[in-house]
Amino acid sequence: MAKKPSNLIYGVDEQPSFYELLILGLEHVSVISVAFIFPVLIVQESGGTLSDAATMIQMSMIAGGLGTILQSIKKGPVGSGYLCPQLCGPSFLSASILAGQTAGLGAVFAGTFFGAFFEALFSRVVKRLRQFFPPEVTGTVVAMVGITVIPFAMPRFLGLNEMDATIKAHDIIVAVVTLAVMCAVTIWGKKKLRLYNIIIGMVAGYLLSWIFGLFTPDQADRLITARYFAMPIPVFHKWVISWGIVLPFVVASLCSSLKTIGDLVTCQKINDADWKRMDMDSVGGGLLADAASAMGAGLLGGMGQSTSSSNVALSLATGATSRRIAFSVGLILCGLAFFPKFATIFVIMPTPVVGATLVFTVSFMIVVGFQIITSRMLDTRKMLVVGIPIILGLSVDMVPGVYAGVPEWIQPIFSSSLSLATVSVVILNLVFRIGITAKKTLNLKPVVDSGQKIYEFMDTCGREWGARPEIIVRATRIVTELFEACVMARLTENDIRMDISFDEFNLDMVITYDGRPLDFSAEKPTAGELLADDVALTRLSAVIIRRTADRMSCEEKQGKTTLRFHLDH
Amino acid sequence: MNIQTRQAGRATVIAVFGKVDAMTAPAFETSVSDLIAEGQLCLAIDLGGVEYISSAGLRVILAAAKALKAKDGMLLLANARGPVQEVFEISGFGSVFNLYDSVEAALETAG
Repeated sequence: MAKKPSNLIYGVDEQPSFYELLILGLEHVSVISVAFIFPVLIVQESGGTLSDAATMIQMSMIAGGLGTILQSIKKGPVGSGYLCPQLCGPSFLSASILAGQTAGLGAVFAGTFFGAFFEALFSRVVKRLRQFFPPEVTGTVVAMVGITVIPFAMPRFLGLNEMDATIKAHDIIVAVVTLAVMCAVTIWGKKKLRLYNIIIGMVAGYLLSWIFGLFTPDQADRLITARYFAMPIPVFHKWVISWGIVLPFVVASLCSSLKTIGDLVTCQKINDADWKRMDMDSVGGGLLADAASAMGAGLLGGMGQSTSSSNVALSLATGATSRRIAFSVGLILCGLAFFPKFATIFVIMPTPVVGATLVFTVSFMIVVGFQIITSRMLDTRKMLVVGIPIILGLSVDMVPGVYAGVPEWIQPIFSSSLSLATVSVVILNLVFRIGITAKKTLNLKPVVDSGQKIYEFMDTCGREWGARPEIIVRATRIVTELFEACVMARLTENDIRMDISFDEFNLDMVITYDGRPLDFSAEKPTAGELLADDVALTRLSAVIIRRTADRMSCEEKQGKTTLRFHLDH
Repeated sequence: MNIQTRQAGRATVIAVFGKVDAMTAPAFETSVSDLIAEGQLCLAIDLGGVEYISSAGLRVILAAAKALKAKDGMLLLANARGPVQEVFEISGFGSVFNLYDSVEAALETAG
């Protein structure tokens, strides 16, 4: 059972009140709504009409709302069991624009469906692929998810857009005040107030924007003319299917899947103070929910859906990760598809408010990514596995146009810092594993050698193999106690040989020496016994060893002792 | 291993750094028994800097506690974290001694 971290107000299994669910749901929807700009871009590039764009947004809302609810389901094959809302996935943007420009919206929806179908297949085999996604891979993806948002966040924070590149004082004031209010409520606000840190900041931002007159006549007009109620009716566009269209969506789905894995790992980590390793059942179910949501979007005529890193960060920032909030988010999203007037309130969010919200939430995401990376010891190999993809990923935004010449069908990989970093971190992790021997041997000479030799050896093993530090500490404890007991009780005068092997799931040690074994069945010595003689101290060593190993066996044959220790990794 | 001592009221705080195993335990034992021999009756051991402690180190602590009890003194243990706290728990020493979260909390007990 997961241990609820102390910084959470409502953990994943807890139940916020109705009003809290409503407000938290609105907070999440306001962050999700930022991505409704993508369907507008796709329709524009596909030669569609404003009505097409409105319908695509409505269908995306329904697909995302249902997907968010599916994602939170804990039982059965679909769903991760976490609050991990769905939104219009940026990973699908370039593939969708490419398909739209080539063959219109029918190609976009067909590609979205088949790309998501690939993700559904991937979700069924991902459980066997855990070794492909160690913490340095997932942590890099999570950190890059945050970093990828920076180019979207900062121009908005400064109030910049394609039409106007001058920085205005009013925009800066709105952004800074919005961010400052969010930070202040989070840091100094009372526990329950922290739940509403984003929405309080947004309200402050909307008010200031209104005072400064930042709402454009077009935005005001859009709000006034939006209908209170409109039945969302899918418009069928004839599907266009070809390899040239589907393949970029398969690549986009792979990127989206890896980002989803990163998001789900983040959900697992922020909901469990004792998180050690990925729960692959939850990841598989989450990917299937992700795929179902995107397939639904393809069928209905919406944009490809993906889990929202910003919303995962938002749940951490508010301290509310209850899966009940997912139902609230899903229902509000589906409901807003029927009430365009309310949806427009979010859609016309002032640019600096959007920017401040993104800066606030993304800062959490980036730090969580680095926390995951450093949860394992980092050797040179792992540093390169993490470092090179980050450089490659950042190069997409820092050196614009550098990948302009790559073939169109693999453009989705090079179209965002996230996708390039994600694909490269997975590949480098696999390539750099070649030739790594996960076996080592240590010979210890009683009386001559000391514990220092054991510490240095185990530390080297841990770093080279990327083992979790606490497992290495436990293995060190077993060997040190055994070595000290052997010396004290003079169990052997010859070398003690230790063979240690490691893979992603197990750490095993086989220790052999010529001589008698320790009595591992002995009871714990009393305080008096411990002070009276050294034999009692070796009994204490035996107890510590026995209780430290997850499994152990001991056999003595023809004067030779063989000890086997296993630690789950 | 490195040991630093300081006076805090009527208690002597012994801050231990590094690894306490069979190799370093004798030095640790000498430091503690010297203080007791000098007449210090309230010792607070700060384990915050200890990276590792083996059964040999635990025995030094036990011996110190016994020596102080014989003189109506007291031994306080503070700042046991992570692997050190785990060793105290699995060895059963956690139930023998009161482990304080901080040196200050331990000194409050000392009065």
